[in-house]
Amino acid sequence: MSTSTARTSAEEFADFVHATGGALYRTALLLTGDHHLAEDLTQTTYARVFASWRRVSRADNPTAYARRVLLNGFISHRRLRRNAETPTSTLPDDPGSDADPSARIDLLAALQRLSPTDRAVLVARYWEDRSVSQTAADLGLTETAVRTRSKRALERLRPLAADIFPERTTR
Amino acid sequence: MNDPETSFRTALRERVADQHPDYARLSADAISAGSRIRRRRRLAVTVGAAAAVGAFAAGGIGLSQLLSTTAVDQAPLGAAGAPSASASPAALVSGQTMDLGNGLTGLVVTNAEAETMEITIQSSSSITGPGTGFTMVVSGPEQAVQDYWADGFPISQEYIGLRMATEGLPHGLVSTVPVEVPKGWTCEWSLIDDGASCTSQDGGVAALVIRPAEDYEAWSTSADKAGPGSGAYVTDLHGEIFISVQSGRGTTDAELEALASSLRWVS
Repeated sequence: MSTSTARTSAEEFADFVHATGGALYRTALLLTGDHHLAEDLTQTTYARVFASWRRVSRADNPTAYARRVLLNGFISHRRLRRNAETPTSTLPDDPGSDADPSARIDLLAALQRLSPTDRAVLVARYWEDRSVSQTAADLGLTETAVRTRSKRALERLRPLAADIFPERTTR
Repeated sequence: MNDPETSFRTALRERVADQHPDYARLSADAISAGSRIRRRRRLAVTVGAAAAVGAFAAGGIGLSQLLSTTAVDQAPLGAAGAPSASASPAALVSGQTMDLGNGLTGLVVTNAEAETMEITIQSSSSITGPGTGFTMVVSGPEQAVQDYWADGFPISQEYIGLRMATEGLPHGLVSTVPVEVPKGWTCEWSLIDDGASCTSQDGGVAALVIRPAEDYEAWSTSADKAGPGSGAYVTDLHGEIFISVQSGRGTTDAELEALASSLRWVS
Protein backbone atom coordinates (compact mmCIF):
# COMPACT_ATOMS: atom_id res chain seq x y z
CA MET A 1 0.00 0.00 0.00
CA SER A 2 2.75 2.38 0.87
CA THR A 3 4.53 1.49 -2.35
CA SER A 4 1.42 2.32 -4.28
CA THR A 5 1.11 5.63 -2.48
CA ALA A 6 4.76 6.45 -3.13
CA ARG A 7 4.40 5.68 -6.84
CA THR A 8 1.34 7.87 -7.05
CA SER A 9 3.16 10.65 -5.30
CA ALA A 10 6.11 10.33 -7.68
CA GLU A 11 3.83 10.30 -10.67
CA GLU A 12 1.99 13.35 -9.46
CA PHE A 13 5.28 15.05 -8.91
CA ALA A 14 6.51 14.13 -12.39
CA ASP A 15 3.35 15.62 -13.83
CA PHE A 16 3.96 18.75 -11.82
CA VAL A 17 7.52 19.01 -13.13
CA HIS A 18 6.32 18.56 -16.68
CA ALA A 19 3.70 21.26 -16.26
CA THR A 20 5.90 23.80 -14.54
CA GLY A 21 9.46 22.84 -15.43
CA GLY A 22 9.69 24.91 -18.59
CA ALA A 23 8.77 28.18 -16.96
CA LEU A 24 10.86 27.49 -13.90
CA TYR A 25 13.89 26.54 -15.95
CA ARG A 26 13.58 29.70 -18.04
CA THR A 27 13.38 31.74 -14.88
CA ALA A 28 16.53 30.02 -13.65
CA LEU A 29 18.25 30.67 -16.96
CA LEU A 30 17.49 34.37 -16.80
CA LEU A 31 18.71 34.50 -13.22
CA THR A 32 21.91 32.55 -13.68
CA GLY A 33 22.71 33.29 -17.32
CA ASP A 34 24.09 29.80 -17.73
CA HIS A 35 22.40 26.59 -18.85
CA HIS A 36 24.24 24.36 -16.40
CA LEU A 37 23.66 26.63 -13.46
CA ALA A 38 20.04 26.96 -14.48
CA GLU A 39 19.66 23.19 -14.55
CA ASP A 40 21.28 22.90 -11.13
CA LEU A 41 19.08 25.59 -9.66
CA THR A 42 15.94 24.08 -11.14
CA GLN A 43 16.82 20.61 -9.97
CA THR A 44 17.65 21.80 -6.46
CA THR A 45 14.35 23.61 -6.35
CA TYR A 46 12.38 20.57 -7.38
CA ALA A 47 14.29 18.39 -4.92
CA ARG A 48 13.22 20.63 -2.11
CA VAL A 49 9.68 20.65 -3.40
CA PHE A 50 9.62 16.86 -3.61
CA ALA A 51 10.98 16.54 -0.07
CA SER A 52 7.81 18.28 1.13
CA TRP A 53 5.57 17.12 -1.68
CA ARG A 54 2.76 15.81 0.53
CA ARG A 55 2.34 19.24 2.03
CA VAL A 56 3.15 21.25 -1.09
CA SER A 57 0.78 19.31 -3.33
CA ARG A 58 -2.11 20.21 -1.07
CA ALA A 59 -1.21 23.88 -0.98
CA ASP A 60 -3.32 26.41 -2.83
CA ASN A 61 -0.61 27.15 -5.34
CA PRO A 62 2.27 24.65 -5.53
CA THR A 63 3.68 26.49 -8.53
CA ALA A 64 4.02 29.70 -6.54
CA TYR A 65 5.73 27.74 -3.78
CA ALA A 66 8.22 26.26 -6.25
CA ARG A 67 8.91 29.67 -7.77
CA ARG A 68 9.58 31.09 -4.34
CA VAL A 69 11.92 28.25 -3.46
CA LEU A 70 13.82 28.91 -6.66
CA LEU A 71 14.13 32.64 -6.06
CA ASN A 72 15.22 32.15 -2.47
CA GLY A 73 17.65 29.45 -3.50
CA PHE A 74 19.16 31.71 -6.10
CA ILE A 75 19.51 34.67 -3.73
CA SER A 76 20.89 32.54 -0.90
CA HIS A 77 23.40 30.82 -3.14
CA ARG A 78 24.58 34.07 -4.59
CA ARG A 79 24.97 35.58 -1.14
CA LEU A 80 27.14 32.68 -0.08
CA ARG A 81 29.30 33.11 -3.14
CA ARG A 82 29.43 36.88 -3.08
CA ASN A 83 32.59 37.23 -1.05
CA ALA A 84 34.47 35.09 -3.52
CA GLU A 85 33.32 37.07 -6.51
CA THR A 86 34.86 40.11 -8.07
CA PRO A 87 33.27 42.43 -10.58
CA THR A 88 34.35 41.93 -14.14
CA SER A 89 34.21 44.07 -17.20
CA THR A 90 34.30 41.15 -19.58
CA LEU A 91 31.25 39.30 -20.72
CA PRO A 92 30.86 35.64 -19.83
CA ASP A 93 30.99 33.14 -22.63
CA ASP A 94 27.69 32.30 -24.15
CA PRO A 95 26.91 28.75 -23.10
CA GLY A 96 24.70 27.91 -25.99
CA SER A 97 25.20 30.08 -29.00
CA ASP A 98 23.42 28.05 -31.59
CA ALA A 99 20.92 30.65 -32.73
CA ASP A 100 20.79 34.40 -32.86
CA PRO A 101 23.99 34.65 -30.84
CA SER A 102 24.31 38.40 -30.68
CA ALA A 103 20.93 38.99 -29.08
CA ARG A 104 21.41 36.15 -26.61
CA ILE A 105 24.81 37.28 -25.50
CA ASP A 106 23.59 40.79 -25.05
CA LEU A 107 20.57 40.09 -22.92
CA LEU A 108 21.90 37.35 -20.68
CA ALA A 109 25.25 39.02 -20.28
CA ALA A 110 23.63 42.33 -19.52
CA LEU A 111 21.53 40.75 -16.82
CA GLN A 112 24.65 39.26 -15.27
CA ARG A 113 26.02 42.77 -14.77
CA LEU A 114 23.28 43.42 -12.24
CA SER A 115 23.38 42.36 -8.61
CA PRO A 116 21.59 39.06 -7.96
CA THR A 117 18.81 40.83 -6.11
CA ASP A 118 18.30 43.40 -8.86
CA ARG A 119 18.26 40.61 -11.40
CA ALA A 120 15.73 38.67 -9.36
CA VAL A 121 13.55 41.76 -9.11
CA LEU A 122 13.57 42.28 -12.87
CA VAL A 123 12.90 38.62 -13.61
CA ALA A 124 10.04 38.52 -11.13
CA ARG A 125 8.52 41.77 -12.34
CA TYR A 126 8.95 41.47 -16.12
CA TRP A 127 9.33 37.79 -16.84
CA GLU A 128 6.95 36.37 -14.28
CA ASP A 129 4.69 39.45 -14.32
CA ARG A 130 4.62 39.60 -10.55
CA SER A 131 3.28 42.77 -9.03
CA VAL A 132 5.45 45.02 -6.92
CA SER A 133 3.88 43.72 -3.74
CA GLN A 134 4.16 40.10 -4.84
CA THR A 135 7.79 40.58 -5.79
CA ALA A 136 8.47 42.22 -2.45
CA ALA A 137 6.91 39.28 -0.64
CA ASP A 138 8.75 36.73 -2.77
CA LEU A 139 12.14 38.29 -2.23
CA GLY A 140 11.72 39.54 1.31
CA LEU A 141 12.05 43.17 0.23
CA THR A 142 9.94 46.22 0.86
CA GLU A 143 7.79 47.47 -1.97
CA THR A 144 9.83 50.64 -2.03
CA ALA A 145 12.99 48.60 -2.45
CA VAL A 146 11.43 46.67 -5.33
CA ARG A 147 10.45 49.87 -7.13
CA THR A 148 13.83 51.46 -6.54
CA ARG A 149 15.77 48.39 -7.59
CA SER A 150 13.59 47.86 -10.65
CA LYS A 151 14.02 51.41 -11.87
CA ARG A 152 17.73 51.45 -11.19
CA ALA A 153 18.30 48.09 -12.83
CA LEU A 154 16.45 49.07 -16.00
CA GLU A 155 18.51 52.23 -16.18
CA ARG A 156 21.68 50.20 -15.86
CA LEU A 157 20.56 47.82 -18.57
CA ARG A 158 19.71 50.56 -21.03
CA PRO A 159 23.26 51.24 -22.28
CA LEU A 160 24.23 47.59 -22.01
CA ALA A 161 21.43 46.30 -24.20
CA ALA A 162 20.51 49.17 -26.42
CA ASP A 163 18.56 47.02 -28.84
CA ILE A 164 16.08 46.18 -26.10
CA PHE A 165 15.19 49.80 -25.51
CA PRO A 166 14.56 51.19 -28.99
CA GLU A 167 13.15 54.48 -27.84
CA ARG A 168 16.56 55.76 -26.95
CA THR A 169 18.25 54.47 -30.04
CA THR A 170 18.24 56.07 -33.41
CA ARG A 171 16.38 53.99 -35.88
CA MET B 1 3.48 51.76 -26.74
CA ASN B 2 7.12 50.85 -26.92
CA ASP B 3 7.95 51.89 -23.40
CA PRO B 4 11.11 50.46 -21.81
CA GLU B 5 9.22 48.10 -19.53
CA THR B 6 7.21 46.59 -22.36
CA SER B 7 10.29 46.30 -24.53
CA PHE B 8 12.20 44.60 -21.77
CA ARG B 9 9.32 42.24 -21.05
CA THR B 10 9.15 41.27 -24.71
CA ALA B 11 12.90 40.80 -24.93
CA LEU B 12 12.91 38.45 -21.96
CA ARG B 13 10.23 36.30 -23.52
CA GLU B 14 11.92 36.16 -26.88
CA ARG B 15 15.22 35.30 -25.28
CA VAL B 16 14.05 32.15 -23.51
CA ALA B 17 11.07 31.11 -25.61
CA ASP B 18 12.85 28.14 -27.13
CA GLN B 19 14.56 26.95 -23.98
CA HIS B 20 13.33 23.66 -22.52
CA PRO B 21 14.75 21.43 -19.82
CA ASP B 22 14.95 17.66 -19.99
CA TYR B 23 11.74 17.06 -18.07
CA ALA B 24 12.24 13.35 -17.47
CA ARG B 25 15.74 13.80 -16.13
CA LEU B 26 14.69 16.81 -14.11
CA SER B 27 11.94 14.97 -12.27
CA ALA B 28 14.01 11.81 -11.81
CA ASP B 29 16.97 13.73 -10.36
CA ALA B 30 14.70 15.81 -8.17
CA ILE B 31 12.93 12.75 -6.79
CA SER B 32 16.28 11.17 -6.04
CA ALA B 33 17.68 14.25 -4.32
CA GLY B 34 14.38 15.01 -2.59
CA SER B 35 14.26 11.49 -1.23
CA ARG B 36 17.71 11.98 0.27
CA ILE B 37 16.47 15.12 1.99
CA ARG B 38 13.54 13.16 3.37
CA ARG B 39 15.83 10.42 4.68
CA ARG B 40 18.03 12.96 6.43
CA ARG B 41 14.95 14.45 8.07
CA ARG B 42 13.75 11.04 9.20
CA LEU B 43 17.15 10.29 10.62
CA ALA B 44 17.13 13.51 12.55
CA VAL B 45 13.71 12.73 13.94
CA THR B 46 14.53 9.24 15.12
CA VAL B 47 18.15 9.38 16.20
CA GLY B 48 18.56 9.47 19.95
CA ALA B 49 15.11 8.30 20.89
CA ALA B 50 16.53 5.90 23.45
CA ALA B 51 18.74 8.60 24.89
CA ALA B 52 15.75 10.86 25.15
CA VAL B 53 13.99 8.43 27.43
CA GLY B 54 17.02 8.26 29.70
CA ALA B 55 17.42 11.98 29.84
CA PHE B 56 13.75 12.34 30.49
CA ALA B 57 13.90 10.22 33.61
CA ALA B 58 17.13 11.80 34.76
CA GLY B 59 15.48 15.17 34.49
CA GLY B 60 13.29 14.35 37.44
CA ILE B 61 10.08 13.72 35.57
CA GLY B 62 9.33 10.04 35.38
CA LEU B 63 8.18 8.98 31.97
CA SER B 64 5.77 6.50 33.49
CA GLN B 65 4.43 9.22 35.73
CA LEU B 66 3.64 11.42 32.81
CA LEU B 67 2.31 8.66 30.64
CA SER B 68 -0.01 7.48 33.37
CA THR B 69 -1.33 10.96 33.92
CA THR B 70 -4.51 11.84 32.16
CA ALA B 71 -6.09 15.10 31.29
CA VAL B 72 -8.98 14.67 33.63
CA ASP B 73 -7.43 13.37 36.81
CA GLN B 74 -4.52 15.61 37.45
CA ALA B 75 -3.89 19.30 37.38
CA PRO B 76 -0.93 20.79 35.53
CA LEU B 77 2.42 20.24 37.18
CA GLY B 78 2.70 23.92 37.80
CA ALA B 79 5.27 25.19 35.37
CA ALA B 80 5.79 28.89 35.42
CA GLY B 81 4.08 30.58 32.59
CA ALA B 82 1.54 27.89 31.92
CA PRO B 83 -1.52 29.74 30.79
CA SER B 84 -5.07 29.49 31.80
CA ALA B 85 -6.49 27.57 28.94
CA SER B 86 -9.55 28.65 27.09
CA ALA B 87 -12.73 26.63 26.98
CA SER B 88 -12.32 25.62 23.37
CA PRO B 89 -10.50 23.53 22.46
CA ALA B 90 -10.21 21.42 25.59
CA ALA B 91 -7.51 22.67 27.94
CA LEU B 92 -4.17 20.92 27.79
CA VAL B 93 -2.74 19.29 30.88
CA SER B 94 0.84 18.30 31.49
CA GLY B 95 1.19 14.55 31.17
CA GLN B 96 -1.76 14.23 28.87
CA THR B 97 -1.31 12.00 25.88
CA MET B 98 -3.20 12.54 22.69
CA ASP B 99 -3.82 10.10 19.86
CA LEU B 100 -2.72 11.94 16.73
CA GLY B 101 -3.66 9.15 14.36
CA ASN B 102 -1.47 6.87 12.25
CA GLY B 103 0.09 5.39 15.37
CA LEU B 104 1.33 8.73 16.60
CA THR B 105 1.14 9.86 20.20
CA GLY B 106 1.52 13.40 21.44
CA LEU B 107 2.77 13.79 24.99
CA VAL B 108 1.93 17.16 26.53
CA VAL B 109 4.44 18.70 28.90
CA THR B 110 4.92 22.22 30.09
CA ASN B 111 7.64 24.21 28.41
CA ALA B 112 9.64 24.13 31.65
CA GLU B 113 9.44 20.36 31.76
CA ALA B 114 10.42 20.18 28.12
CA GLU B 115 13.70 21.89 28.97
CA THR B 116 14.70 18.82 30.99
CA MET B 117 14.09 16.46 28.08
CA GLU B 118 16.36 15.61 25.23
CA ILE B 119 13.99 16.56 22.51
CA THR B 120 14.11 18.78 19.48
CA ILE B 121 11.76 21.71 19.33
CA GLN B 122 10.53 21.72 15.77
CA SER B 123 8.14 24.64 15.84
CA SER B 124 7.22 27.40 18.22
CA SER B 125 4.91 30.38 18.14
CA SER B 126 4.71 33.56 20.16
CA ILE B 127 1.06 33.92 19.24
CA THR B 128 -0.89 33.39 22.44
CA GLY B 129 -3.53 30.70 22.44
CA PRO B 130 -4.75 27.59 24.20
CA GLY B 131 -1.45 25.85 23.53
CA THR B 132 0.76 28.56 24.99
CA GLY B 133 3.04 27.32 27.74
CA PHE B 134 2.96 23.72 26.57
CA THR B 135 5.11 21.51 24.39
CA MET B 136 3.84 18.41 22.63
CA VAL B 137 6.38 15.65 22.05
CA VAL B 138 5.36 13.61 19.03
CA SER B 139 6.43 9.97 18.87
CA GLY B 140 5.50 6.93 16.84
CA PRO B 141 6.48 5.23 13.60
CA GLU B 142 9.16 7.28 11.92
CA GLN B 143 7.33 7.64 8.63
CA ALA B 144 4.20 8.79 10.45
CA VAL B 145 6.23 11.33 12.45
CA GLN B 146 7.80 12.53 9.24
CA ASP B 147 4.43 12.87 7.55
CA TYR B 148 2.93 14.64 10.53
CA TRP B 149 5.84 17.02 10.49
CA ALA B 150 5.52 17.56 6.75
CA ASP B 151 1.87 18.40 7.27
CA GLY B 152 2.88 21.22 9.57
CA PHE B 153 1.86 19.58 12.85
CA PRO B 154 -1.91 20.03 12.42
CA ILE B 155 -2.59 19.88 16.18
CA SER B 156 -0.69 23.14 16.61
CA GLN B 157 -3.25 24.86 14.41
CA GLU B 158 -5.94 23.85 16.88
CA TYR B 159 -3.86 24.67 19.93
CA ILE B 160 -2.38 28.00 18.94
CA GLY B 161 0.87 28.68 20.77
CA LEU B 162 1.67 25.01 21.30
CA ARG B 163 5.33 24.12 20.74
CA MET B 164 5.90 20.94 18.78
CA ALA B 165 8.85 18.67 19.46
CA THR B 166 10.17 15.31 18.40
CA GLU B 167 12.42 12.95 20.26
CA GLY B 168 15.97 13.07 19.16
CA LEU B 169 19.13 15.04 19.20
CA PRO B 170 18.99 18.72 18.40
CA HIS B 171 19.80 19.78 14.90
CA GLY B 172 19.93 23.12 13.25
CA LEU B 173 22.05 25.82 14.85
CA VAL B 174 20.05 26.01 18.07
CA SER B 175 17.68 23.76 19.95
CA THR B 176 15.57 26.44 21.60
CA VAL B 177 14.24 29.79 20.49
CA PRO B 178 17.23 32.09 21.07
CA VAL B 179 15.61 35.52 21.38
CA GLU B 180 12.55 37.28 22.66
CA VAL B 181 10.96 39.72 20.27
CA PRO B 182 9.64 43.11 21.40
CA LYS B 183 6.01 43.79 22.06
CA GLY B 184 4.04 44.26 18.91
CA TRP B 185 5.75 41.41 17.09
CA THR B 186 4.81 37.75 16.97
CA CYS B 187 7.05 35.12 15.47
CA GLU B 188 6.58 31.59 14.22
CA TRP B 189 9.83 29.70 14.65
CA SER B 190 11.00 26.77 12.64
CA LEU B 191 14.23 25.84 14.34
CA ILE B 192 15.08 23.12 11.89
CA ASP B 193 15.15 25.83 9.26
CA ASP B 194 17.12 28.17 11.55
CA GLY B 195 14.58 30.93 11.34
CA ALA B 196 11.30 32.55 12.08
CA SER B 197 8.64 34.46 10.24
CA CYS B 198 7.46 37.46 12.21
CA THR B 199 4.46 39.73 11.92
CA SER B 200 3.96 43.11 13.54
CA GLN B 201 0.68 44.42 14.89
CA ASP B 202 0.27 46.65 11.86
CA GLY B 203 0.76 43.75 9.47
CA GLY B 204 4.41 44.22 8.58
CA VAL B 205 6.43 41.10 7.92
CA ALA B 206 10.04 40.30 8.76
CA ALA B 207 12.17 37.19 8.78
CA LEU B 208 14.70 36.24 11.43
CA VAL B 209 17.49 33.98 10.25
CA ILE B 210 19.85 32.33 12.72
CA ARG B 211 23.32 32.26 11.24
CA PRO B 212 26.63 30.72 12.30
CA ALA B 213 29.32 32.88 13.84
CA GLU B 214 31.70 32.27 10.97
CA ASP B 215 29.39 34.29 8.72
CA TYR B 216 29.31 37.25 11.08
CA GLU B 217 32.24 39.16 9.65
CA ALA B 218 30.81 39.03 6.16
CA TRP B 219 27.41 40.17 7.33
CA SER B 220 28.58 42.87 9.70
CA THR B 221 31.03 44.49 7.29
CA SER B 222 29.14 44.36 4.01
CA ALA B 223 26.80 47.28 3.43
CA ASP B 224 25.21 45.25 0.69
CA LYS B 225 24.17 42.52 3.11
CA ALA B 226 23.08 44.44 6.16
CA GLY B 227 22.55 48.01 7.20
CA PRO B 228 20.48 50.95 6.00
CA GLY B 229 18.90 50.36 2.63
CA SER B 230 20.03 46.75 2.32
CA GLY B 231 16.82 45.24 3.59
CA ALA B 232 18.51 43.51 6.50
CA TYR B 233 20.06 44.22 9.88
CA VAL B 234 22.11 41.92 12.06
CA THR B 235 22.33 41.45 15.80
CA ASP B 236 25.58 41.31 17.70
CA LEU B 237 27.36 38.01 17.80
CA HIS B 238 26.02 35.80 20.57
CA GLY B 239 28.22 32.80 21.23
CA GLU B 240 28.20 30.73 18.09
CA ILE B 241 25.35 32.50 16.35
CA PHE B 242 23.91 35.81 15.31
CA ILE B 243 20.61 36.72 13.71
CA SER B 244 19.88 38.62 10.55
CA VAL B 245 16.58 40.46 10.54
CA GLN B 246 15.31 40.72 7.00
CA SER B 247 12.50 42.78 5.63
CA GLY B 248 9.25 41.62 4.18
CA ARG B 249 6.08 43.18 2.94
CA GLY B 250 5.00 46.31 4.78
CA THR B 251 8.07 46.69 6.97
CA THR B 252 10.04 49.91 6.80
CA ASP B 253 13.77 50.15 7.19
CA ALA B 254 13.34 51.92 10.52
CA GLU B 255 11.01 49.22 11.82
CA LEU B 256 13.47 46.59 10.75
CA GLU B 257 16.34 48.28 12.53
CA ALA B 258 14.22 48.73 15.65
CA LEU B 259 13.29 45.06 15.64
CA ALA B 260 16.89 43.98 15.23
CA SER B 261 18.12 46.20 18.02
CA SER B 262 15.41 45.14 20.45
CA LEU B 263 15.80 41.39 20.19
CA ARG B 264 16.78 40.01 23.57
CA TRP B 265 18.89 36.89 23.83
CA VAL B 266 17.38 34.27 26.09
CA SER B 267 19.56 31.27 25.42
